[in-house]
Amino acid sequence: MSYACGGHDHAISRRHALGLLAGAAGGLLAPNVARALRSKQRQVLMIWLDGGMSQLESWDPKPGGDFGGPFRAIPSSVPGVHVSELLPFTAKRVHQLAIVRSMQTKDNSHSVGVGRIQRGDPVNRGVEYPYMGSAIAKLLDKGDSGLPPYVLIKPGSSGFLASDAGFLGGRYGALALGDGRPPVHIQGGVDAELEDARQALRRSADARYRQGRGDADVDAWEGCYDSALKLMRRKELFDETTVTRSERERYGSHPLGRHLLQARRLLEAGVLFVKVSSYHWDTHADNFAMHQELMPQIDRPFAALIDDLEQRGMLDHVVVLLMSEFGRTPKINQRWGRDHWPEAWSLALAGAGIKRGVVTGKTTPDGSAVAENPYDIGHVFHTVFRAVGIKPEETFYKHNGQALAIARDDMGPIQEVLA
Amino acid sequence: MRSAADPSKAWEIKSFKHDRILSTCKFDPSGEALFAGGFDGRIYRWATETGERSVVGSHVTWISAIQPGPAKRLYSADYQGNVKGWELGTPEAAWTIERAHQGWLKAFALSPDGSLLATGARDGVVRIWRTADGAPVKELKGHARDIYSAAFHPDGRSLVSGDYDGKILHWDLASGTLVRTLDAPGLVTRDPDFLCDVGGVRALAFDGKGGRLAASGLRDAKSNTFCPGAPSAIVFDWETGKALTTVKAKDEKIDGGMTAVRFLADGTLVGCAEGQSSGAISFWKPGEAEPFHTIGGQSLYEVDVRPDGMALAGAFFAPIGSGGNGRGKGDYVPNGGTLRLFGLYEKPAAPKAPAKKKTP
Repeated sequence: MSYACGGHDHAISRRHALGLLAGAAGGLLAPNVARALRSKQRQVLMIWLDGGMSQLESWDPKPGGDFGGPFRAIPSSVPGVHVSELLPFTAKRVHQLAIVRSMQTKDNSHSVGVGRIQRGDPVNRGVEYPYMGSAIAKLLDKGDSGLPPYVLIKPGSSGFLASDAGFLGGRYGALALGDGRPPVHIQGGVDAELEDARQALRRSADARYRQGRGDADVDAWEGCYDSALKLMRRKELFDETTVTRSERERYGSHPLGRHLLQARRLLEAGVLFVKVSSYHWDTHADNFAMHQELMPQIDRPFAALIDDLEQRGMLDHVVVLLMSEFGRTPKINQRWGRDHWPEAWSLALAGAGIKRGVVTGKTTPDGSAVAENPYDIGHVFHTVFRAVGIKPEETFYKHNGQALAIARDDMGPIQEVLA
Repeated sequence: MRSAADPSKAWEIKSFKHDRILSTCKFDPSGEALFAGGFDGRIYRWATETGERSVVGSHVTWISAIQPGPAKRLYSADYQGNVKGWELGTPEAAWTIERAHQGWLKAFALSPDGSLLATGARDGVVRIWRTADGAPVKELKGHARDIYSAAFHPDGRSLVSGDYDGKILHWDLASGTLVRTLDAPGLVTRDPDFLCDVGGVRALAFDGKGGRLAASGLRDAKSNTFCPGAPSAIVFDWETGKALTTVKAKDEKIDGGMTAVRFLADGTLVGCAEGQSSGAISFWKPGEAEPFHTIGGQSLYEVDVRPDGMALAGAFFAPIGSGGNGRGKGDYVPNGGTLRLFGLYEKPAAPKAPAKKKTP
């Protein structure tokens, strides 16, 4: 597989980068990257199971071991690779996936861990790094879909999450669609002429406010309004009458299933980065009964999604990343729960730039430690960037005179899963 | 000769430690031994007098339930839906039902005459088996979701099975028909913010005459992560099906489910509960919601009353090494279990040491 930015002529050294620094905050060096990648339509789907899906009840089962739990391991579509019996649908699609069984991260608490993981655990350079979605929105060309580049589908309320963008500035924040629904503005319909007048007035006020002030806040507001305006022109993306009963059944009626189906539709429409978040994967009690209920909520729609992306040819240009904050303790606590375990856990990748049907990394027989090929979240950021065609070692953010690495410069991609 | 149990005077006779969590415990019909099984997939017998432990047999995965029967027989089930019948003293199972159910098998009851086993599991079907040879007898269909618990009525003509939805189905065994449904909605918590419902009818028990039925579990869960709530049981009048009392634990720190219930001969309800930091065995007088006595300790997963009614045993959690998030310090080993045996009568006074004679 070739990459848009794989040629030597696109390479840019850090020394060269430093020489090109401009003063504007949140800029990007190597803009030719974005132009070159545009033709490849690389997109990313990140599925974030907030809390921690148990690796032992999913990708790395250890039945019969000291910490294995009660469930069986079942064969997958890749000979010799077994997954938990709680993933019967996904097991038949493992030949489309790359599974990393040797994630080893640092934080075992949510308060620190979520931000650090989603920002790629950057080295402290005195700035707040962007979440992966904001980074991709910045680093890749938005294309001509006319849609917001970074859309978050989540339970609860809608809004614009400027904070995801960190130092890149609010315009690269996430447009959050609560329960996958469109912003209220586009649900009822607005008179076009009246709307144009309102927007003109808003822009005029923004321009006046911007004088003598920093750009960040106004950028965030404008980003939010622009995102809503773009979606107002694409109501059909949320028209449920265009979804067949068969599709609904394959993805399921629970929130994660509906949200993954909505994610597929947004990716088809050209959204650059879609993140689907599901909360409460944090089974400190009754882990096994809970996983019996929770795993079908990812197993079946994830399998349907992989099928759909494959059938539509989208696995050639969409990178899929399924992960949590951390794994769960091998040790079972007094309420038969599993607690937080960053020391040895698993995630899955699929799609563009990713090998199919591979498993990398290995844990010890009891699952309590990584035995081979430990990888941190920085490696995952490198891998996703490479999969969409960006070379992190040659691409830098520029911020207040600094060239900032887009991923940890002491780490590299997980080569075994890169196509 | 002691005539009646008095739980308020309960005292610990002895305890037996194990290096893995014990999920279930039951007295031998003679009262001379305790059977227990758990996360190492083995079924053990502890002689209560000597503490001698022997292995009865094993399963491929965690033991979910055991039922000692008459004539030195024992029946066991596991979390992969397998059922085995054992003749004690013989290391191999007398019979095995492979995948009696799809998925884990939690509901497991023995008929009063020991001739039938009832099983229920995640597939929502109750199955009746002949204990002599493990042959299937009947299938009872009516549950919409996972079955967690089952109990035979003492008259041997009826069976109840409890599910994830908080439904208790009353079956006529002769005809295999559903007689009625008792509702225990308080034992399941539904919240749109949860990823799934929390709770279910986790245990069922009749009193000795069959006039009352207790159903236990967790009320008012606050989340599907730590699942904190109130360990509770609902006591039904069997004839009318009316809920008589809802009992709860006294200590609010015990925030897990009530994992097992039993009745003493005088109608006292016994329930054991688990919690994030501690558990307890509690005792309630008929009609009362507050317990009149509690035995504290770690989380418990089952309690059983000795056939003479004068003692009970509990399968307690036993922490080994550090717990919680992350690796902690020291060796990383599984948590364990403790079987604790309690007398339900006043602790006998220790025999006085003979007085020393003064030498002239």
